[in-house]
Amino acid sequence: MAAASTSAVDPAKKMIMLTTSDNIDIKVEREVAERSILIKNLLEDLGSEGDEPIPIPNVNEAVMKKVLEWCEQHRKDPPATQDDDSDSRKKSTDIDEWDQKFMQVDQEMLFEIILAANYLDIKALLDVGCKTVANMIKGKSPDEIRKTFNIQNDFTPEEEDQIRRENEWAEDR
Amino acid sequence: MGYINHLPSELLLDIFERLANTSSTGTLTAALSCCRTWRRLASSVLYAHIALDSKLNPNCTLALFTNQRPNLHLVQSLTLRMHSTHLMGFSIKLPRAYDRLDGLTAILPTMTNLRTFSLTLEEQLERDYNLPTDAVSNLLKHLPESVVNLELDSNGLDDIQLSGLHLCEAVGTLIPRLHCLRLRLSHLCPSLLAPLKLKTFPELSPKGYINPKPASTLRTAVIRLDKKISERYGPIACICGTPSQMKHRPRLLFPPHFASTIRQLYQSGALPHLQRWILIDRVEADRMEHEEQWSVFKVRDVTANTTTTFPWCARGGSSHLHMLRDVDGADLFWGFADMAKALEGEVAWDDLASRARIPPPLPTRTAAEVANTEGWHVHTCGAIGRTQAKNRHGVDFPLWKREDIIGKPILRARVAAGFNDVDAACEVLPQGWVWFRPPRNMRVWSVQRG
Repeated sequence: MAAASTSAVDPAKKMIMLTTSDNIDIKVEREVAERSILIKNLLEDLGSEGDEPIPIPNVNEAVMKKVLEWCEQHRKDPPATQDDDSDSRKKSTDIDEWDQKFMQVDQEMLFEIILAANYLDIKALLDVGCKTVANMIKGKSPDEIRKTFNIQNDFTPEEEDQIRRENEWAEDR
Repeated sequence: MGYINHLPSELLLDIFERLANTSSTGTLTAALSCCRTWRRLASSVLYAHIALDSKLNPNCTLALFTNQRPNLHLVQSLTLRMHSTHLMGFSIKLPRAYDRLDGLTAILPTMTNLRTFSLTLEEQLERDYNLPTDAVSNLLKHLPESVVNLELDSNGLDDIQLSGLHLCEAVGTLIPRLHCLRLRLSHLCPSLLAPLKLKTFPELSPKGYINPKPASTLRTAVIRLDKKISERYGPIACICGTPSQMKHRPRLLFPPHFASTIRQLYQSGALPHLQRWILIDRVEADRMEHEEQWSVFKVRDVTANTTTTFPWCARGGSSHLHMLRDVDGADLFWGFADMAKALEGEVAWDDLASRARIPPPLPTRTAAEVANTEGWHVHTCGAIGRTQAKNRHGVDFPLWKREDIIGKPILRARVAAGFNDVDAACEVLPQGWVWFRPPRNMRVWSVQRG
């Protein structure tokens, strides 16, 4: 492979190095890594001689590879706008087909991806992650939700009774 | 082991908000019944914007809610939706109809984070039901100080005759502190605006009394003068009066006057924060006239000082579709209720998935931009276009045929400066064209070169 520092290389295609929390170096095209606003800002801050590896202390290799797989697929997506911050982003839980397949992982990986997307500031991936969890909650009874996510029921019987009474108005009927 | 409750609270909240936006409230009640963490987070989402249905039935959501009084401090928006049975109870003077609201008036003053209150009716009420004004007025009296957005939409079914009390004073006293107002009532009068009058208008206040109140904080207002056509009062709001006046000599409110009065207040500086105030009224074309007469909706933009007139027509037959021609010349199709709602454009209130109503965000266009460009913009979302209406529903208007023959539009939405435009719309033939009835089909007028 040609040296990354030659001027003929498209800066978007330039390879950069990320060091994960378990001390593994991952090489990735700059354009792909820049789906992460955190990495993009870091690279801009470091300037052109950003050839040294960038440490990502909160994300391990397995999760980072998965996140970069998503970034590769979505490398040409338009960048997130300020508008995406608003509520309109939350008005749907539809997920496109590729992303649905991508999110078919065990729960441990699912939450790791969500945490990584949050830390790395990749809004669209965080979106897909939260939608996936929301869809797992929909249509289930409290017992089924607890079972799905392995949540401990920490209510006393009195509390359960109170919750049932005070939220009865909002039950589906 | 990855565990959902290891996600930070803001991400769990994000997930619950998505559920609130995309599914019924039952999804959130299931979520908040899972564990203490979820109860705390999901409750704050569920209770932020609530909609309660009022019926005579003791198991209606209003009764269930007011009996338990849960999480009142979390409620920011409250929508009360009155159902036909409740309104029927009012019209036969059933005490229970009034009692049903007592639970709400008892808790309203304690809802100290309530910002938005909306009173609407169950949709599709086809008969004349009655919503007595004294019941509404009593609710308004109990709103906490924190309320800054108010909607009262009775679709013109509020009834002054039962109590003789008109709502304008009760609403008017609230206006100076509101940010957002939306009204559709059967009766309105200038006393609605009295609390806005400043000392710059001494002639408008009784006996030259100088009103020391600070100016209004109002940002957007929608007043719909159009309503369900009732045999008693017609399609436009009436001026408030005594029960006997209302019975024997109801007077229609004249929209240009009302718009001008608000415009004067706006220009006097009484509404320094106002970004948009629109009035919507309608003019019915005489159905027996030639076909070139069209009924219209009028959007009078007080801030931009314009009146935009939109021709519309029922498609008739079995279709529920209504056509409205917008300022760009596009024909849009909806059911009547959606068309009427679309007129409110960027200041329309929104229905959340919980069916709670929330006020619009601040308008993006300035009043000057609206005035200088092409008039009022209706909301096109939910509408279908001409091609779809033609292909999917077999819609066909003689107007289109005439326009095809002539080769250009002969009916337009129009924008006029000021508020004096009170006319319906006409199909206007270009010079050299005349109307005629084709001998083979005398019912439908056509055009030809004359």
